Amino acid sequence: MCEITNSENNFDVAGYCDSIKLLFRSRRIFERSYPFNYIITHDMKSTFFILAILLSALCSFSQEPADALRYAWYIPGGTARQQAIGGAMGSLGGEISTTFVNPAGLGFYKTGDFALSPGFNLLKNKSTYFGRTESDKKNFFNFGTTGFVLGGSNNRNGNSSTFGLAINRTANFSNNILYRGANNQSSYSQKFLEELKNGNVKDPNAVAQNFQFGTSLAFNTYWIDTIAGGTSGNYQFQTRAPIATGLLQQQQINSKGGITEIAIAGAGNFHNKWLIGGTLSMPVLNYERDATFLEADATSNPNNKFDFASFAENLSTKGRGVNLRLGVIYKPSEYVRLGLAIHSPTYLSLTDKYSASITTNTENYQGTLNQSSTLFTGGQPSQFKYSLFTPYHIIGSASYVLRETEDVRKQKGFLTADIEYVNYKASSFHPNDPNNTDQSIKDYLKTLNKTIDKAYKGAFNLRAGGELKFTTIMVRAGIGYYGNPYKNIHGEKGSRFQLSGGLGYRDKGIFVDLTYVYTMTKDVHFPYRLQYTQFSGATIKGSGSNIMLTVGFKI
Amino acid sequence: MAESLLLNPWFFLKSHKSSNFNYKPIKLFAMRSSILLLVISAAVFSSCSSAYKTGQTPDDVYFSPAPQHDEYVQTKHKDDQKYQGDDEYYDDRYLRMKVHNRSRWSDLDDIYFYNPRYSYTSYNNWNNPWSPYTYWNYYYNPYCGGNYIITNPKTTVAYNLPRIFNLNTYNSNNLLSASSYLNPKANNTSNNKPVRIFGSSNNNSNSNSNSNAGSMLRNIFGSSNNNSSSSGSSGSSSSGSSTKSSSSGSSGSSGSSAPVRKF
Repeated sequence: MCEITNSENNFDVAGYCDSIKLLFRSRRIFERSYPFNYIITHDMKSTFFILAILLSALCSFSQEPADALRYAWYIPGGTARQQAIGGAMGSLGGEISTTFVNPAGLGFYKTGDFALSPGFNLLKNKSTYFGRTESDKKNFFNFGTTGFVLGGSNNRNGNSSTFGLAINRTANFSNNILYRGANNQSSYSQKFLEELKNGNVKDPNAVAQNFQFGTSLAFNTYWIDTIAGGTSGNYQFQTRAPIATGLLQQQQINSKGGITEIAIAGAGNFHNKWLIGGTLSMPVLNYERDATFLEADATSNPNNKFDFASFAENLSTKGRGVNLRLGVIYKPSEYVRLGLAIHSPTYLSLTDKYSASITTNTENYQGTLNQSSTLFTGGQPSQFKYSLFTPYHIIGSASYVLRETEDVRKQKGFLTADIEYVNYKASSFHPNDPNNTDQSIKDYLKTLNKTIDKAYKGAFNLRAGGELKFTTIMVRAGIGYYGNPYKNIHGEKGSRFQLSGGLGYRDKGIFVDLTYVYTMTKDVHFPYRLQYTQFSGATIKGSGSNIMLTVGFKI
Repeated sequence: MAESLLLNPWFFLKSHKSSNFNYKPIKLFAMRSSILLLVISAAVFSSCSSAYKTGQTPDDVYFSPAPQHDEYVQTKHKDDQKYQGDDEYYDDRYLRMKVHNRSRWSDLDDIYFYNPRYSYTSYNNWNNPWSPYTYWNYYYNPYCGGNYIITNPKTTVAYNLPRIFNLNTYNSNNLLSASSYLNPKANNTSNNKPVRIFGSSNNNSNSNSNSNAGSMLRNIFGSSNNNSSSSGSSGSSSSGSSTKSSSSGSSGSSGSSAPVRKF
């Protein structure tokens, strides 16, 4: 059994204050919600107050930093042509997907396009946890850049302007992850014990009621329990999970959703030398995740008061926001194009709906018990409104186009490459509920933003590709690399790599592009993180195939 | 939901897989609808491309030709038959309808009579119960349709806090060196980690919401032979004396809802 012991640790003063405030706030909300069936005696309130004042261990609680990374570290979607050349579109232009990369590229248009880009994805993940490898997969429909561009003719000064309206599935969160492993180092339940330790909570009534999204559920179902010998208001706690004899653990995560952007763009072409453009985009975010962590006794002992425990959580995040992309393309000479684009941080106004439940079987001790957080929250998931700023992007790009002539028979092909810098640690959370101006929440989110600074870093993304053109038939290939956004705190490391190829046909006012993209990803996932005990994560190697078709018409 | 449907036509179907309903016809219909939509879009926009059907199709990535200007002088067309304003239109419509059927459209007289456009004073309409423009006329007049107030009831959520996470776990100086944390190999030589083997099982079900979850997981580990984990190292623990059962305990196999503990 593992029990709470006091030890020396580094403390976070801001987090300490936040913990106290949140503990009080939780209590107030609970009392408001259950005035009839929950009677709090004066003594209990006094005890609670004293305990809160006497908090000696520190911790800070908030949403995960991983939430911020999810909405920043992704491979953006586009048209089949753009995907075939590795996603590089920072200086090439003349393609509708440039709306979402460098809107200055729209300035090349003097005709019009309408494009539809449906796609299909096949994902497979191999996850390794404590030496054991499991796999899971997910297939889903997708779509890339769809919309239209209307180019303008040259005016008397030789300048022209272009307008575009497009929708794009910028990020896709559809994924299934499964891993299992035999662990004799730690238990999921230790995170609950650490929460109590950090809050110096010794009142079992507080444990049973004040931590409605985890610790209270674990305590009420006997995943964690009191240690015998305590007195009223002064208990120590232990986990019922037999860590020393080993635990079989399993984590399954099923997620779906994505970020869909609706964009309006404009660009100007000045003497075909300088092109300047901007895109105002409204992203709509939808993310849903069902995750279940399970740990079971690895032994045959039917009398050790633990068979299994599972923690199931359901998270739904929805919202919308706005961002701005500005870009410029300069043509120093014929055939050569140089591009620079800046993507502003995306402002997202989000709402989380969250619920959790725990089921524990302690064999002949308490049997199988389950409890849901909705017991404490009026039968509904908790709801939290907040805003998120995602990182800014800076893209530099160069292209060589052979040749820039009207006669398509003389157009031979192009090479293009982008380098992009994304500062992942620039993500930040902020409160966004006018009816909920609690200072403790503001302090929480500040602490979370500091943690994001510690957990992530800036990274470079590289994209390159080319096309060979044979009058009406085109052959393309590309490559993309998305760098590691993690700082190495506990072995975190990740990257994404793409290889792509495609064919295109353009004649009689119609163009059809077909692309195959093979993606390899490396990432880590921690089922739980512990402050005082060794914990382990799973390495996740993903492979994905994306088939994308773009059908377009000249207008 | 609507957004999900827009983005993925199969979203609705996937989210209701748990029921026994046969979705094949719906799926087929959705698929056909998508194809139909694509075909219609293609037909509509291909008609726009008629200008490029004979000559070369421009590729704007390489070169985008400016559209040809008209060689003729454009004149501004003026159609004297068009209405020059709302008043002319309404007058004309009123006359046409009255001519068509004088008695049937007599109610329009009220509409036009009390219309502010025809009133010389606002006093004419205000608080006039016969005016069709007066609010309380609508409300109390039994011949007027009922007024419906559509509200958007907000669900009150009791809890409004961030999700809980211990951010101190991101402090690297609390624990050992980072390299030992990621995916350590299972200790095959450990004797304190016997895994029960309940016989071979191909159960790959990931459902663990019931009280058999522990047995399910032990069966998966017990029957596994696809890796180097410790699962194969202690087959001896599956002796016949094993009596651990998912149904052990007082609650039986289904489990029961736990109350809040009180001390």
